[in-house]
Amino acid sequence: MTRYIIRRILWFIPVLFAIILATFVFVRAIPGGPFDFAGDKSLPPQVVANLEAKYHLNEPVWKQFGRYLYDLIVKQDLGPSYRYRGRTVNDIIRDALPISAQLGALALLLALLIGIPAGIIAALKQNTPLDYASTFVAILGVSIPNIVMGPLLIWIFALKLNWFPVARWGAQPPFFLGFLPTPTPDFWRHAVLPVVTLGTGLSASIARLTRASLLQTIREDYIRTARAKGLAERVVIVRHALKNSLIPVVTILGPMFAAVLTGTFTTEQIFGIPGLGKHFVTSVGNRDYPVVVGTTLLYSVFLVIANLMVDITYAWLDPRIRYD
Amino acid sequence: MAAAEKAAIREKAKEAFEASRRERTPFRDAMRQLLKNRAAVIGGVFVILVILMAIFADFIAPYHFAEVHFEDNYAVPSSKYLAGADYLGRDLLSRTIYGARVSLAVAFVASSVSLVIGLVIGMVSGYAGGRIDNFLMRLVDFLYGFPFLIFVILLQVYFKALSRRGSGIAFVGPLLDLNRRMGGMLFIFIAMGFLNWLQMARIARGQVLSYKQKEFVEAARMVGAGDARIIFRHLLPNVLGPCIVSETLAIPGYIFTEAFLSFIGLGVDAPTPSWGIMISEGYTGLRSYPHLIMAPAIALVLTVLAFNFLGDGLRDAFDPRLRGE
Repeated sequence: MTRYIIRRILWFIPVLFAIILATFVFVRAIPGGPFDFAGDKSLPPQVVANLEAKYHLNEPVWKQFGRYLYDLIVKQDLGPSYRYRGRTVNDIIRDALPISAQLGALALLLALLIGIPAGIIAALKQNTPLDYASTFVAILGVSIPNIVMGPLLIWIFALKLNWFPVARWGAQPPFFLGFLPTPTPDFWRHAVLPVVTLGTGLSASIARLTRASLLQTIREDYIRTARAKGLAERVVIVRHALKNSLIPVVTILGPMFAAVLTGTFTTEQIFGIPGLGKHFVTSVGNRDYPVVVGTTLLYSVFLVIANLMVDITYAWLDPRIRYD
Repeated sequence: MAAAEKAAIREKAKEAFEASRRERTPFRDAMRQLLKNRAAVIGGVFVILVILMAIFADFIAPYHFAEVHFEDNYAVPSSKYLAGADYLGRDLLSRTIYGARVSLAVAFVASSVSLVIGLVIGMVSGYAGGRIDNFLMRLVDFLYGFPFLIFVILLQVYFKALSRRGSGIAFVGPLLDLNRRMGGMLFIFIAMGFLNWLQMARIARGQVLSYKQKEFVEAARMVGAGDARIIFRHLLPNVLGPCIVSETLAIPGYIFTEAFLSFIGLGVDAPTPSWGIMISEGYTGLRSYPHLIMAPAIALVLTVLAFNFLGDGLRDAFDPRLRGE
């Protein structure tokens, strides 16, 4: 197992290298440069040339790339932002990542807390009105995209009822331990709508999967054996069926994590939350190359780690699965 | 017994055999199962209706999607504009009807592209085995860590900038032209086709591996069928089912992604209507004109709901293990 994990981690290196290279080259190939505009006016060519020289943009791309890799590996430095003068990509990530992480973690938590119990209940009460109702709600939940859910919630709960604020995030850097928000009432008031927006779709797909998987598990022979032994139904379900039926649920946690990442893109856009997703979209538009490459790299690191964690959990839940 | 009688009996037996074959192929079974699933049938019918609406938009829509009525900007729903009008006084119902074209086109083209790429890679990998399999699967593993949405966004920004400024490369010119004529849809197709094929390649490979050793493939090989014949006649029909089911389940994802791209301003070009763009416009005016967002939001949710019902039904029908008792 340890050898497997080490091999997988070594595998990260070429993957991440390729991602950096692809993003680095590609973002520079997009027509337009970072210094085309300052506000509404365009800069004089001499100023642009000076700025480009300052950031080494006049050098060949392979040289720039070498410099970038050197700074990244030796100094853990993701470079300066071209747009936010005086701020580095590291600064931006330090401020924006915790916000996205808070949003994503809360949404995922909400999704698991609603999704798994709902799926279990639906499966245990299969083909009853309760099952049909929760299945329908779940399928409706996955059919409502964030860009509809967000405005809908804002319209009802922020504009009509005035219960929650329309936008923004209730916590600002610096954060406790670097990522934990101060749980003030203001933080929660701001968090409710975006977290529900992001969490609904996720909880619906978790519920659907949990139901399907549990239904499949309770038809297995070993469940029949457990019942035949005279075990109480509760013990059969909790001890024998649940653990195995959660395996497929764990496998989608990887894609789910990716969905949270992309979901934060939309949700941050809708609620004007200054997280990483919003920064990414803005920085592509601004041709702020280092921010684009830096955020892409960060997302990719999360993605590959999440996939690895899923595979490890998978083996832990199902002793039949052995990696070597 | 007369020869004619014998021939008649043989004919009858053949017919009966053919009929029994028709009765119980796995595909027929699946279709029968599907038709029994009321939600899936309703979903399927709805999808067909949306497709018809998109095709015949010119006849159904009360106005053209770009027809401007400045005097009626932000009109609330009335008998003149059933769903109201937007900031240029364009009829929202008409724009929603035309908007179905973008969503459906993206859904079908993106899923076909990823289906074809995935099938080719997956089947070649599974069938060839050995070094080729190893290489292709390594490639798939490799790409699995890529954040594809980010690359789709980058690609869209690239194509948008390109079509604004033009390009010096010779073969890109006609492409840009075509893209302009398609209202900016072409490049969305290209970018999104790459989203899902990894999954598809894995499924196709798994299917080929499980069927490759079956007796009917052995038999076909024994009577002298070549690789091409085995792949296309014997393996492809078995591989296709699960892949199509999986693609159907992926369609809501494509529709969402297109809507999201349009929402952040990277979708189709104005004035082509897309539900994502309309939702984005409606969201901007949410405080004063909440009716703007209604029609496109409802259309988007209902269409995706229908695809989900249909996809679920297909999956249940093709995977007997998931059938309820």
